[in-house]
Amino acid sequence: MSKYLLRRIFMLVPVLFGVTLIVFGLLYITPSDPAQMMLGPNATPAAYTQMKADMGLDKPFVVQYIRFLFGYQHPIFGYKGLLFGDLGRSYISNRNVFELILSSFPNTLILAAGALFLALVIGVPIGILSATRHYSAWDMVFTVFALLGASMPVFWAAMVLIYTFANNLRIFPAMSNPRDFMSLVLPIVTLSMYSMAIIMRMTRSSMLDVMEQDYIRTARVKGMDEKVVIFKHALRNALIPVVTVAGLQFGQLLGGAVLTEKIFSYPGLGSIMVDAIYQKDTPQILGSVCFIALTFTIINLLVDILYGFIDPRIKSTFGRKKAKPAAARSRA
Amino acid sequence: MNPNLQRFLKRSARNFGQFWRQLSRNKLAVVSLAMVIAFGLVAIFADLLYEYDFVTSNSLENALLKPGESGIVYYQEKDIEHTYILGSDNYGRDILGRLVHGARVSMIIGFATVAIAILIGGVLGAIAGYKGGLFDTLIMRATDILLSIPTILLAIAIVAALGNSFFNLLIAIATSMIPGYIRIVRASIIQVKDQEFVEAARCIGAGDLRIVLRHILPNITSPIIVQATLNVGSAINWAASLSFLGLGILPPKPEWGNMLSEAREFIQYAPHLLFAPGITILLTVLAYNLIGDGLRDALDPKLKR
Repeated sequence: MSKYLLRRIFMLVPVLFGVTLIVFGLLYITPSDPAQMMLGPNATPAAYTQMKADMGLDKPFVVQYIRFLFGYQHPIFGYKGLLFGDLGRSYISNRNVFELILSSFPNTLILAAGALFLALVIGVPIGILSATRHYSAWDMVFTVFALLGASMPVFWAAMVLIYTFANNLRIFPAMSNPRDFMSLVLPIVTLSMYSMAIIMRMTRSSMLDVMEQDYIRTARVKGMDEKVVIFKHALRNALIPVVTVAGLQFGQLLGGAVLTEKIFSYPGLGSIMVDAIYQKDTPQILGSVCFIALTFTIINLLVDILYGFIDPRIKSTFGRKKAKPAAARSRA
Repeated sequence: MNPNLQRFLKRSARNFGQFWRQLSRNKLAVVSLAMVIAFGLVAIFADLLYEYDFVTSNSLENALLKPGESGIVYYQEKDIEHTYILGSDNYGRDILGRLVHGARVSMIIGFATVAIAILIGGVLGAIAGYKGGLFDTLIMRATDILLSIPTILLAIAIVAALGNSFFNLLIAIATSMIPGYIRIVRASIIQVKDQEFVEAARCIGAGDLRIVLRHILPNITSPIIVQATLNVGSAINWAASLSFLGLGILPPKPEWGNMLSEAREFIQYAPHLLFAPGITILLTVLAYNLIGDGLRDALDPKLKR
């Protein structure tokens, strides 16, 4: 088990390295000119060259990338580097990039956690209901809702909610901030829709799978109460894939909160990132995207590990060497 | 006619007939397919329904008309009477006309991105699955890297870096989809590459390329087709989302997402600005999802009854 963990954590290193390389590379080819931006349109060519040198933008890609990782010495534009958790200051607000990220990340976390909670609390029971009353009217209604939830553009759902509940019914405010519970309702509902649909469909299909298995029939034949069969025997096994999906959804929610945050003017990491993109604020974009990717990767790793804990069948294969492909095994 | 070709066509027709019988049991999928075809025709013949210049030029005296109202439009140096079937936006442009031309943009993005992603992802996945070894390790690590950035975020970052344009939007969305195809193709190839028919093909001296294209590919098309159908829907959704954020196709060019973005301040007075494009996107994405689900059921041999 610990060997497996170590290997997984070790494999994280090249992935994260690759992510930073991609994001840095993307911003390197961006046709924006930070030096020009700092100086304004009336700068002399000499001042421009000097500024470019000061910001370290006159160096080739590799040098810039190494500086980005390990730091850059300069009285104004210097920073300790990504590996030491410091990317210097934002070009626009002049605030420390990571301080801004760390102060806004909890806000995004509130939104994502709320959305996941809502998605589970509603999605799982509906999934169970749909599966146990397979092909009933309820099943049809819920399936249609799940399909709509999975197909609806997030930003449009947000606009419809604002139009209905903020502009017309005036129950919830259209702008959201983390200190006001009422204002959190609409963004959380918006964000949870897609995950709710996915979790509901997953619960339903996984429940249907399990209900067809022999041990469920055995339990029923023993004369066991249907409720006990469903909740004690079927649900336990049916929830295993649901937990995985929920975990992966949490990562997607953190990243996907961008649109929701933007529409509700919510001060989260996503808003900060999009604003930084609009303003071509390179250090802030780099910091935000790397931070989100890091969190996303770590969450996915945790989900994988958790999966091993809740499903003992997988745990037993942890220590083994790489499994052969199914086809090769069946021939042997 | 070449007898080989004849035999091929006959077999294809038989397979298609069987497949169609499976699919047509799913009424929702058939309805969705009809809708997608209708939308496709609208997109192709958009210019016959509304002239592009007409839907992109302002007519401020007709701003925010309700659906069904008509107004006098000064267009191409003369006044013409025009009925706004779905109303007009804040610049007095015809909403239905913009939806029709937006359909063209969405369809092109949907199909082009998926085609690019299948081509690149398919080749890389095939190499990884078929060759194995170092190729496999390298390609799969690169896939892991791309997958560790949330999809919408990756697309946003790419458009932000390359700049706003139709082509860059295509690249951004296609790149976000490539890892999915690499995984599907690789997994499918690994499943079939050790089976007897591949071994037989190799014994009669077929080369790697021929084996992959002629013997393996026909056996792994089902999961790719299903994924592609679902992805056309997501691509349309993502394109709209990015354009909504101002990171895709910008107004006055008609696009469903930027129509909603422009509508934001006016939805209180003109709700049709909110509902017309939104429901269009919803129906389109829903249709592709339903077709995808239908195809999965029709193509999955395990579910065949």
